[in-house]
Amino acid sequence: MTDGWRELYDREYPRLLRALLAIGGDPDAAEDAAQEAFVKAHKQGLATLERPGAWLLVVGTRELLRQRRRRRVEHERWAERGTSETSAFDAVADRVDLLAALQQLPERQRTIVVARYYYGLSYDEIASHFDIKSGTVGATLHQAIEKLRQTQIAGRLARGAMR
Amino acid sequence: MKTDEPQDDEILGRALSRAIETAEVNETPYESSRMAVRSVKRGTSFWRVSALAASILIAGALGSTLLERPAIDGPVAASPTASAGSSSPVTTPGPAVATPAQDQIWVYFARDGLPPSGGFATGTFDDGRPESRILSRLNALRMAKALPLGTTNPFAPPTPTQSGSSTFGMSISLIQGDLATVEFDLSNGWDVRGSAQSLALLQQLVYTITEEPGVRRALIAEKGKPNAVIDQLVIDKPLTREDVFGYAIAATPKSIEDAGDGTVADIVDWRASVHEVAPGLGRFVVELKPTNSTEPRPYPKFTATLERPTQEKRTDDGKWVIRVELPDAIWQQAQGEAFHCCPLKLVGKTPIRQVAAYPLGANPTPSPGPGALGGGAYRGVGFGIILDDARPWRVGVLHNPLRLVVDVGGTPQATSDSVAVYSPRAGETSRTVTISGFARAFEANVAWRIKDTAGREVAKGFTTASIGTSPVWGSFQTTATIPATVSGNVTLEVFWPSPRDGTDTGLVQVPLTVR
Repeated sequence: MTDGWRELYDREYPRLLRALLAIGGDPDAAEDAAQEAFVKAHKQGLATLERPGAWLLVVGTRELLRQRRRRRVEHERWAERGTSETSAFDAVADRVDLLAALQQLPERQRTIVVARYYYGLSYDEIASHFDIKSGTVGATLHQAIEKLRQTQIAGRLARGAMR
Repeated sequence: MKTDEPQDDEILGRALSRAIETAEVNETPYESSRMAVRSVKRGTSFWRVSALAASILIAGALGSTLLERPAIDGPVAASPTASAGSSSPVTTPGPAVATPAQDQIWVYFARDGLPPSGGFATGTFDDGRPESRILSRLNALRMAKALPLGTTNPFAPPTPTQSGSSTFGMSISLIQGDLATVEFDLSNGWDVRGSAQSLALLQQLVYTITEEPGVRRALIAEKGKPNAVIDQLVIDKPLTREDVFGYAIAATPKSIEDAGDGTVADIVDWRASVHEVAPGLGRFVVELKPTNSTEPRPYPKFTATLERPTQEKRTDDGKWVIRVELPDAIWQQAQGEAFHCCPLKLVGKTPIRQVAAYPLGANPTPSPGPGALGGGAYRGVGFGIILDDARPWRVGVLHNPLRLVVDVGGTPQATSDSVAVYSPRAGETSRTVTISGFARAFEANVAWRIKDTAGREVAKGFTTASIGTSPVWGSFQTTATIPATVSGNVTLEVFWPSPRDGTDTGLVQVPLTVR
C-alpha cells in the first residue's frame, strides 16, 4: 500500500507544487500546502480518491488560500527572480511575464486557469470540483486569458526598453 | 490560419502551462514528505480506519465553497476587435458556454470636425481570415444601431425612398502587404452630400479597414468605375489613417526630449483620458513628487518617441505608440505586486487605446525600511501610449504639482506644429473668452488676435507660455474680450512671431460667434 502512495506522490507532487506556486506565487507556501494536501489525502485513503490529481489540486488550493488568510501576507517573487536571472532571453522573459501576469488576476481566476491549462481539467470537472456554475467556467477562463494577453503588450514594451 | 479567439486562448493557455512546468521549484522527495514521515510514525492502520469516513469527507471537500468568491465580473468587452461572442470554446472539451447571438465589433464613427472615433457596433464577427474580419467590421459599421455619444454614421444605408430599393455590396479583392483593397457595389451611390460628410465617410472607411492588424493602407474602389467617388471626393490611391485624419501636419516631431535639471521624483499617479481637456485630445499625465529638489519649477529628464509597434494579430496593440521614458522617476512597487509584467490602463477611445507602464531597468532596488517583502523601488520608468493613429502631439511640464503631460491631437484647425489651442472651443459664443493651450514658441511669446468676417483685426494681445525656446511645450492662459461693436462670426488666431522676420508662425484658428 505504501508503494501506492509513493507512486501517487512521485506522479502528482511535482505538478501540484508547481500549480500551487503558480497560484500563490510563494514557494514556501506552495510547498506547505502541497504537503498538507498529501497528508489529507493520506488520511482519506487512496481507494477513495477517484481522481487523485484533481482532488489534490482542490485540497492544496484550499490549504494555500487558508494559509494566506492566516498570514495576511503575499509574497511576490516572480519579478525579481525573472529579471535577475533571465532578462536576456525573450522566451524566458515571456514565461516570467506570464507567471507574473497570472499573479495580477483574482485568486479565483488564477486557480481556474491553472486547473484548466496546467491540469487539463474539463469545464465540467472544474465546475464540480471548484464549486462554480459550469456555464461560467468558459467565460471566467476567457476573461482571465484576456487579461493575461493584455499584459503581454506591456511585457513586450518592457523588453524593447531594456534591449 | 489560427485566428479564432478560442484557439488564441488555447495557445496562451499552453504557453502558461509550459511556464508553470518550467518554473524552478525545490521538490521534496517522497521519503521526506510529511505524509511519509507521518505514516512511518503512525503506522499503516491510520488510513484504513479513516477510510471509513472517506465518502463523507470527500463530499465535504468537494462540495464546500473552496475559494473566496467575489461576484463574477460582468462580461468584459474582450478586445476592441474581438468579441464576447467569439469566445465560445469551440476547441475545448466540456459544455459550451452560451454564445451571445451578436458580437461587439470595434469600428469607427464620424465626429464633427474631428478625426473619427472608435466604438463598438453589434454584428457578426467572422474571425476566419483578415478579409472576412475587415468585411465583418464594415458590415457592423453600416448596420450600427446605437452610436457613441457625439458621433454620426454617414456610412449607414440611405433611408428607403418611395422610388424603390437600393442594393449594396462589398468585397475585398485583395490584401497585398499592408494594403487592403475593398470594392463597393452601390446601386444608389454613397448617399452623402458635401465635403464634410464625404470626408467623414472616407475617414470611417479608411479607419475601419485599417483596423485589421498589418493593414495600414486602404484602397476604396467602386465596382465598374476607375475610381471611387464619394460625392465630389475622388479616391484614386491607397490611403492611410494619417492621410485622412484632417490635421494639416503629420505627427511631428518624431521625438521630444529634455535633459531636465537633475530632478529625481517619485511617481505619484498616472492617468490617461480622451476628450476631457479638449475635443479630440488624448492626454496622458504622470504626476511626480520631487525627492531631491526644492526648486519651485523642477524639470524631470525624459524622452518621448513616436514609433510603430510591432503589431501582433490583435489590434489592441495599436497602430502607433508613444514611448515616454523617465530615467530619474521612481516607481515604488507595493509588496505582493509584480511591476515587471503589466500595469496597464485601458482608455478605449480614439486616439488612446491604452497605456502600459514598464521598468527601464531590470532590477528593483529593495525599498528601505522593514516589511518591504517583494516590493521595491524601480528607478527609471517608461510608459507606452498606444494609439490609433499618428496625429500631432506634444509634451509639456506643469507645476504644482509637478506633472509631465503628453497631449495627442486636439481640434485639427486649432493644432499646428508649435501651437495647440484647447480653449475656446470652436463655435463658442461668449464675448469674453479664455485662451489656453500649449505652445513651443521663441522666448515663450504667444500672440493672439481676433478678426471679423472682413478680416479686420478687432482685438489682439500677447501672453507668455510657461516655457519657451525648448523642446518642452509651455502652457499658456489669457483672457480676450471681443469689443462690443463687433458681432457675428469672428476668428481667433493664435501664433508666435518669428524672431527672424516677425512673421506669424504656428498659426491656428478657432471660429467663434458673438451675439
